[in-house]
Amino acid sequence: MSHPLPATLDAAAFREAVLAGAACLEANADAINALNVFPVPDGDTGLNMTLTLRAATDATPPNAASVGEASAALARGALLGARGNSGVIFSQFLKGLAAALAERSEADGPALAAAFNAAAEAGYQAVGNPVEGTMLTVMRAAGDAALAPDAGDGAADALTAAYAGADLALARTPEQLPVLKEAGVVDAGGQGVVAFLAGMAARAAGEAPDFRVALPEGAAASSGVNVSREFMEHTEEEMYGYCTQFVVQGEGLDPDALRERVMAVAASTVVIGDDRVVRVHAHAEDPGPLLSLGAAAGALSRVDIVNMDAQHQDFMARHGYEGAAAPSLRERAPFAVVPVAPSDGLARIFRSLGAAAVVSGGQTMNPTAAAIIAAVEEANADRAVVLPNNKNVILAAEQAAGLSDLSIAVVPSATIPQGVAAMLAVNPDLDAEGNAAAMAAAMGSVRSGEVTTAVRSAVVDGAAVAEGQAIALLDGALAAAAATPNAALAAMLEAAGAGGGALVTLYYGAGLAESDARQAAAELSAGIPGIEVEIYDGGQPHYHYLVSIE
Amino acid sequence: MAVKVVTDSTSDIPSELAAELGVAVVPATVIFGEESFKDGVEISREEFYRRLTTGKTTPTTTQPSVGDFLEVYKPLIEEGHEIVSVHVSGKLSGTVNSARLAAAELPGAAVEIVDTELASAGTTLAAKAAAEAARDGADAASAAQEARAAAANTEVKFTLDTLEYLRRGGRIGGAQALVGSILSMKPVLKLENGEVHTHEKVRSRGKAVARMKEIASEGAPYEEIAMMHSSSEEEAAAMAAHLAQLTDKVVLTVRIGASIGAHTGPGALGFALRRKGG
Repeated sequence: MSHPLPATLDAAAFREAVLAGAACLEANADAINALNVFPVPDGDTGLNMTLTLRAATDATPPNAASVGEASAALARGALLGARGNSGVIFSQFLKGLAAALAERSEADGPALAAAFNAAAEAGYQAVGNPVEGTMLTVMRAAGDAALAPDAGDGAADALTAAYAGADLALARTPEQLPVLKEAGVVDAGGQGVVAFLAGMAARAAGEAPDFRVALPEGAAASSGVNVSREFMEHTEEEMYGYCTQFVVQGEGLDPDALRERVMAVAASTVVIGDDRVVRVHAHAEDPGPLLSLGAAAGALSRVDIVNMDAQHQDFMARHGYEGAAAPSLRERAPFAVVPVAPSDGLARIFRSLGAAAVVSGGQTMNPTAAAIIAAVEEANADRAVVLPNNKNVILAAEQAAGLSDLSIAVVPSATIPQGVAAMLAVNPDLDAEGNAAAMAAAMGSVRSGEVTTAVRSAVVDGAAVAEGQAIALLDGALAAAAATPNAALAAMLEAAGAGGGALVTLYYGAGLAESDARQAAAELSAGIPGIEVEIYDGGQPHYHYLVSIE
Repeated sequence: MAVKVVTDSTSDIPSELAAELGVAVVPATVIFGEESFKDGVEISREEFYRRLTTGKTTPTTTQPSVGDFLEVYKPLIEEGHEIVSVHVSGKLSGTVNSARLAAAELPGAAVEIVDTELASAGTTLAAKAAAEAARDGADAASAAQEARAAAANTEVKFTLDTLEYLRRGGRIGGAQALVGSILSMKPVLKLENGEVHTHEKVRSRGKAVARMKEIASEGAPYEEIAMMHSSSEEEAAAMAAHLAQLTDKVVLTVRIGASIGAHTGPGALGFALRRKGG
């Protein structure tokens, strides 16, 4: 496809290799999404890593004076733009990489090998409790392989060795993590690392990027396409023009070529897919040319155009702002709580409990560290506690706390019910540390349930689940599968042993009507004597019910 | 000459106890639209709650007037008594002001005014302490001191079925923040510095009652306990049985009357815990 890169990379060649890695990761994002252990619609590892790397490459100038300067910009962009746990860990890799390359104007094979080792080391350090069989293992294998004596001295040698080592380690991840083996998949984050390295290695050698992720049995890439509208609405900080999304279907589609054309007329582009289905997301002043590009390539479907200017004004109005200077109207408080919530309904509930600002995001739209910092700034308090309310947001919240000059503590709530319980423990008489401790303790007072629809057939925790079935998870483990959400909910509460005196709070999702939730509450009340059931409009995407049991 | 204790109807002091200790009760007034009633005199508890839950008009309350106090104070002074007048928190009601103004109308008379910074069962415990001191021969100043010490050593905690009455009546104080909650709340409330505050946010009645029992147990044993309620007999009996284990004295049970009930609504349950050494 193009000439090989020199054996010693200067800043421009280094950037080119990284861009090629990013493009390869992006081309495989859908397939990586499908490598999800649980058949729940939160398989966004591919997207999270893609968007993290996109933020990183966008921050890297084409004219950097040295590899050190380019890699520092890359790492900074990744840190601020990291989404989801996989993205955060990836950003830590880049941070370690940049630290190792900091003093270098150019990088040859041994320099890159050392940098990959430093990257792996930084990743391990960033994770409180490193687990083998994950992207950490894969990254370390990449570093080890690149350092091997027979790897060669050129940049392409190191990258090729790193890719090969990573790919071998990836294949072994199911042996290291039983959940992967049971689900019949390799680790998704590790797969992302492999795709990135594959792209870099191919570019360095001047080869065509023909790398394709192998899909697990029974998982179609399309089932992993979870680029929900809500996700994309929150994907970018830019809030002007039209957010335009559509799907192109056809034969022999070329996502890379389409991406090039879309990028020429729009900003914030994400183009992912394969030769049959391509999904396009972009922001443009005029959505017309975008649609024409899509229609020229294949058949358009699921066209969604949102006026972000109007959206922005709605947001301002809803939050009581009348002008751009309005955020400063909030009086500075000594202490504030800033939760993350995936829908307007849940955001309203948190605000009604005293949240000073709410970060949009959650399960299928992990917010960036930068978005979390922005919300803490909006809260205008001396000290802030962030409630991630999702296990895949905790690392980004911690990253935000580390990056910001503001005083931010993270109370690691993994679910919305835990976040609500923590919120209720806030005591204005306590200082920030006292509140953080009380909030963390209160999280343990609730059990968390989720009812969703299986996005593929799978064996989970020894039980077979069919695609399309309603499934219920209790504290993160599969508790029930049934034909309807209400049946799965009832079976889960039975599994939870919820009896008399228990308070069950149902936050029903965007896909259910209030009458469905009322019926569920009535059935539960009738079935379990002495139980109290409350229903609230959560409006969250994908999840029929979020359930708090206390 | 003796010391006589006076309180007001927001103490909810049981009539048998008032009679036994010779405590005079000055009634507040409860107003339903065009009709007004002297609390405990012109309207019974049963009738009040019936009107509260089924009537269309929301009741309001007014403190006893200076004249109402003078009607009680004057005959006692003329009989040669000293007076200790023990009342609801001045931050919740103007009652203690009326009492002070009434005392000022009686120059030379020995009238000690006590702002308990409490209400209901809490005020009852303070009035009882003063009356028992007086019975044992204390003068007005010492009996008043007993009441103040008892009040300072007493904590009042309670839970409500709804915050709506507290909000409408303007007595919600530090618990105001809970009113905006979309999630239903059954908080444990407390009186602190004479005002209502949130002690703990709790989501259900069952949990609030269970938590109240735990809170009571934490500081046991107590010098004395009075329980107050406008809730079901069953719930009140269970709480009384729990509280009975936490003190050597008999637990007083106080039924919340109209002047407090107008601000708590039906379904209030709480207690006043008097710590030892006060």
